Amino acid sequence: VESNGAAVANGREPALDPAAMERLRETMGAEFLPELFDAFVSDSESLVADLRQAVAARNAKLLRPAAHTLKSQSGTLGAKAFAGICSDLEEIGKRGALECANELVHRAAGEHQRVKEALTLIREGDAL
Amino acid sequence: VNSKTGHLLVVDDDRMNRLLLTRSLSQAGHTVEAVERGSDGLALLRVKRFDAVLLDVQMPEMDGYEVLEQIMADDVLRHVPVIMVSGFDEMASVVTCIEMGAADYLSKPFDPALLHARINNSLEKVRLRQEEVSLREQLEEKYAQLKESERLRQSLLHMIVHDLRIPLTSLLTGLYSVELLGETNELQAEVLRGAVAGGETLLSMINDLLDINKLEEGGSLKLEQAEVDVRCVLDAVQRQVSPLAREKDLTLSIDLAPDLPALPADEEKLRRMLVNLVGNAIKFTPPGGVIRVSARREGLPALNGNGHAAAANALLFAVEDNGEGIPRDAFGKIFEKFGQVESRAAGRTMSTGLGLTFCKMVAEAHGGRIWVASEVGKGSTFSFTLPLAAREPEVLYAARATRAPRPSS
Repeated sequence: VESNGAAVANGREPALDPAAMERLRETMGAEFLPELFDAFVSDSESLVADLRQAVAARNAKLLRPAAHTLKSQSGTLGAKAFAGICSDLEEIGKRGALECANELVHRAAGEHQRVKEALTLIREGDAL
Repeated sequence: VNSKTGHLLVVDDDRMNRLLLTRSLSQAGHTVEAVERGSDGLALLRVKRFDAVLLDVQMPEMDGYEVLEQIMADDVLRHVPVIMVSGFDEMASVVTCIEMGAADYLSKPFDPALLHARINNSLEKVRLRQEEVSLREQLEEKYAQLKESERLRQSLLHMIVHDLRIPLTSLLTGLYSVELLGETNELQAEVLRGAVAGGETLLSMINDLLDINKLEEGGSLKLEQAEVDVRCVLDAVQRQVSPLAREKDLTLSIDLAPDLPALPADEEKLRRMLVNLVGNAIKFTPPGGVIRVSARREGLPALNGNGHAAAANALLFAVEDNGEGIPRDAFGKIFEKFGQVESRAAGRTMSTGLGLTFCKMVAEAHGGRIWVASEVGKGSTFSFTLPLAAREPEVLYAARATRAPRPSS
């Protein structure tokens, strides 16, 4: 379990669900994962930037699709905490109540960072 | 490799999802194309044939609903199964899509086993539909072939029958000439009469067939109407059929009412009709039997089914025999083309069964009707009416409106 890098210290929930990652590896093949992770890392960066900008500008139309895609992508990777925050943000986007979203966006950025680090650890582990 | 593989289209704005679906489906042996935008998906669908589409519901610009709507509006694309891909929390949108015509759905993150099950399901539907379409095409092709060969058969028949008439006419003309010369002894004259009668019956059959054929080709039976003296017509009929009756030792009696008026009718067709009916009676009556032909005035039963009021006057003809009779369940069939009752009695020559069809057509063309009453073992009576009023509907209507109903006698 340690080798997949999903378990993270601080007593917090792991950024990536090890079972979900195992399923991906099994059904898609380990050799496919780097390509998938690359897609996430490169696409999610601008989507998280969209979240920030949308909340700053109170732009629900920008927030909603960005949060939706991030929710879907993190769900695929088993990034449960990140997916949960994105789902909340999508909901806020739907309601148009962006005033209280600052804190959530901040947490989303943090989770995003944790997911990326976990993915890096998995890749290094697989490379060994 | 699985034999149930297909050409699939993935439409999803999320690159990760496109990668996952493409990877998963390729692994199962499918050919996959993936596009990011709904409009690109539609463009591809219009130029390439796909077996199924995996369509994301939420996309920027053109979303899944709009793509689905356009697919369903297209006569060809409508038959490609669409599997909606949606978040697990978007069930309401899935319901809407299925109502719009989507074949199935899949929620994200998807389970590969479920994905494959749904794809296989859709491919099976496509296969069944293709089978159905090809069966239908085959059926339509066969039907067209059948219609064409029926048409060919019909025109061939017409041609043959038509060509038969020419030599037969010269044969009859020759026989008439010999008969006219009168240089024959009694035996020769008898033989000659038989030959003439047979030739005339054959000619009559040929003419029936040509008339029926013409009528079936959408034309109408052309009547050459004139004021006809029924007495003369029956006289001609008697001359034509009596050799046959004599041959079978049958008594032929003609019973005409004294007050017969002139009848507006096609004399030639009326004669052939009576020859047919008497000819049938001769054929189906055992030696020693009696055939009675009668004609009298009669109130014509209303043709429109509005009661039994005598709407116009008509002549009622009847040909009665005491032959073998016709079973009741065959009454309707015998007037149909080739509908002659199957012969059970041995040794009887079968005929084409066109004679009664011709009679029905002639009676109806005159505005009359024909029917049969019969009891097996006791005999048959064929009756028909020909109206005394002209057969044009307007005239018939005028006659009904102005003439007082006359009680039938």
